[in-house]
Amino acid sequence: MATKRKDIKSQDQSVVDETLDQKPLSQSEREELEQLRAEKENFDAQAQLDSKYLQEMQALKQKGTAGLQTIPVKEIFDVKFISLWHVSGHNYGKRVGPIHPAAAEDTFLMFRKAGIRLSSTQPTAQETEAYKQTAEFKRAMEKENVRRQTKKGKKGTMEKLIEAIAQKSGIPASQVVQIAGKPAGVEV
Amino acid sequence: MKEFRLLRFLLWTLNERGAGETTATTMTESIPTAVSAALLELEEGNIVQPLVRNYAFPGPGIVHSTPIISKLTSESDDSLANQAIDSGTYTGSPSNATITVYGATVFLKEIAVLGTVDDLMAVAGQLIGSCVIKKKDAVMCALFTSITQNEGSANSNIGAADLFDAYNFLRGQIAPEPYSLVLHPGHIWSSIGLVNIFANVADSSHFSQASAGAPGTVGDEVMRNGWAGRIFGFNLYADANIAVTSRAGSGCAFSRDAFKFVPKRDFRIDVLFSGPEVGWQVSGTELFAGAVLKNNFGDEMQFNTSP
Repeated sequence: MATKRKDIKSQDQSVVDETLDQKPLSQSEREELEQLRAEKENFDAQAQLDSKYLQEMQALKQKGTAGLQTIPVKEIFDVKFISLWHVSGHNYGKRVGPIHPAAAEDTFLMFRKAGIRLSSTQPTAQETEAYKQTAEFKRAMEKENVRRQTKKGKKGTMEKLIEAIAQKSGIPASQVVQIAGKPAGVEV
Repeated sequence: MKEFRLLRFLLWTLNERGAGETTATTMTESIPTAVSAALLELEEGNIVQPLVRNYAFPGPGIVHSTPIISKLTSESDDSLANQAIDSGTYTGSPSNATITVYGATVFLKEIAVLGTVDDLMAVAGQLIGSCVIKKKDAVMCALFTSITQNEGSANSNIGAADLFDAYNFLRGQIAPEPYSLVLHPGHIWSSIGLVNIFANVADSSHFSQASAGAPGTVGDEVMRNGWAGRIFGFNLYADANIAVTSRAGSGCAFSRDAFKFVPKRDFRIDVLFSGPEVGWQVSGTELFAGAVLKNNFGDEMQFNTSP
């Protein structure tokens, strides 16, 4: 006597399993089951063939019409624009341009008068890293950081509240925010 | 009888069609179609040029030079060296703009022209127009980085204080209004953009701004329409032709005389049939130049465009 399966999730499955367990298949039922299995295998094989056929057709169409279904558009210009690069200050490596070569000379002089050095050669990553270690860059970054911090300036209610809690409780402001869940846009 | 019927048919054909008449329109006759399609693109995508000083440049020459005359100063004494008319201390350079050819060429194969029901000349005009206007706008936007005053820097997000400072700078330079503010769409609508100043949404991500008293009506306008058109005294424009490098792009706050646009020859379409390639080469070109006119009438806005 087959035992009922107790670990079945769905009712339908449990009914099927009970049926299978309780009564053996007849010859006709076995044959029907085999036929269904064979049909499923055929269906899977056919689906694979269809997929491969579609892929071949797509590849054929692409090879046959490559370039014919496009309208090429080509730009016209009679001069090559150039870029200048910051080689001093906190914006080291920043691009100026691309601008007309004749305008580049005027731009170079204009920036020089403003105390910013430019170069027509883009600094490499190594040169940028080396410059970032210099005292000149550190002074410029310090000045820029003070400027950015001043612009942030007036604090909202949330920041003031966090600061007040931090002061009263002795917990650093960053930890107060972490406990509460940090709202986006709040910087501490 | 057969000859009579043939003759009658020939006479009918000539009568219907006309000797020498063709049913196909030539590509040269279609130039106005291409031009009108191109001009529509040129008008729609032209953002910066209408905001700057335009100087017509007819006649010979390809370098347009604008001399800079220094302002008169009022002096405290009447010695000859300090007369109010003394402008000799200015050491700036004139603003020079060198004319360049800008354009695009589209190649239309004859088989494509004959085999399509669409008007390919209009398509060609549209393609050329969008290429030319993108180039023109990009050239003008690239001039923003040629301004020495910069309100932002790499890896910084735009904020209200930056706009206040830009307005302060321009007013300090006695730049005439109106002031335009051309920014990349990311400066305005990204999650670190200007809309966050006005977001009137009562959730945790905007709590700090909303609780600080963001303007309710402006916030509602922003949330409803996406933008209100003006911000902090500037006419605001979004321009996706501003180049973005490592998330940062440079917009600009400026008065009209900060930049100049010098057109030399207006947009024109030329058509040439190429026998070996069996198709028409349709070229659209324009001759113009752009340059910085008064450096102190502009303020570069270099900020992040995405988080």
